[in-house]
Amino acid sequence: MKEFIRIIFPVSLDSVRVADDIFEVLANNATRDKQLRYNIRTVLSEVFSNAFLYGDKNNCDVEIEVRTCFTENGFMASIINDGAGFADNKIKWDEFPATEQESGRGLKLIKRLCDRVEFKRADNNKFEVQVEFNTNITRQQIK
Amino acid sequence: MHIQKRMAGDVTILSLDGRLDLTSASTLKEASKDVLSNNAKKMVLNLDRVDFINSSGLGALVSILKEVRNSQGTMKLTNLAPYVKEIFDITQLSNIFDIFPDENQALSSF
Repeated sequence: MKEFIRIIFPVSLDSVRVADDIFEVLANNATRDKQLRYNIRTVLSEVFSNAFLYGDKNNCDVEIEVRTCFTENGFMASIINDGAGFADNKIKWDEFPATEQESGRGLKLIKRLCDRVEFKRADNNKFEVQVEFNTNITRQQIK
Repeated sequence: MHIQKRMAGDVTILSLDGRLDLTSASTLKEASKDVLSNNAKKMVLNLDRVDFINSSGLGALVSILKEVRNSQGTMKLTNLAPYVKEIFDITQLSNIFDIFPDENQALSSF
């Protein structure tokens, strides 16, 4: 992926806050479609929050890396962190948790709101979540 | 997130301003806990100025709803922005929360 923006965050709640600010800007620059902007912001926020919550907290040097770029079809982002990851083939993607459950909705929201999501091992045995949105725009159209 | 509390008769209204996500979930839970500790039985959460919600925010709302119900109370949500309402619909949480377009309708429903 040709890199357009690459940001490294320390693992902290402040980073979650800052990252959300950046995701809002990225979403606003990715498309004029307000619904799609919200979807991009929501997905990136969910992925980053998961990286914060479920990443390796035993190592104080861990970081969360965000890479974004504009592709031929739209906008793509990868969020990479230290962590065990999970077996995505065990998730029932079409079922949301029973109503009393306080967690378990994030991954399914990600799947519903983006056009493509991929979970994989990145360099140095890190875990990567890559998402893509079809925005049908070219970079020249972005203000 | 900023939370403003006021009363409308015996109904406690919490007006939320900002993002409802991982960074603000605990703030909202604490504010709700404070309301319930004063034996409030009727609560309205006005989301008019909530411009963003993710699953962490939803989790906080579910947690609060459970606490309210355990206290034999009732909670309603009002003034959801279209994008916020859509998240509730996608996750099917619009089936378990009482959601109203505005405060007046929510207050009338008690």
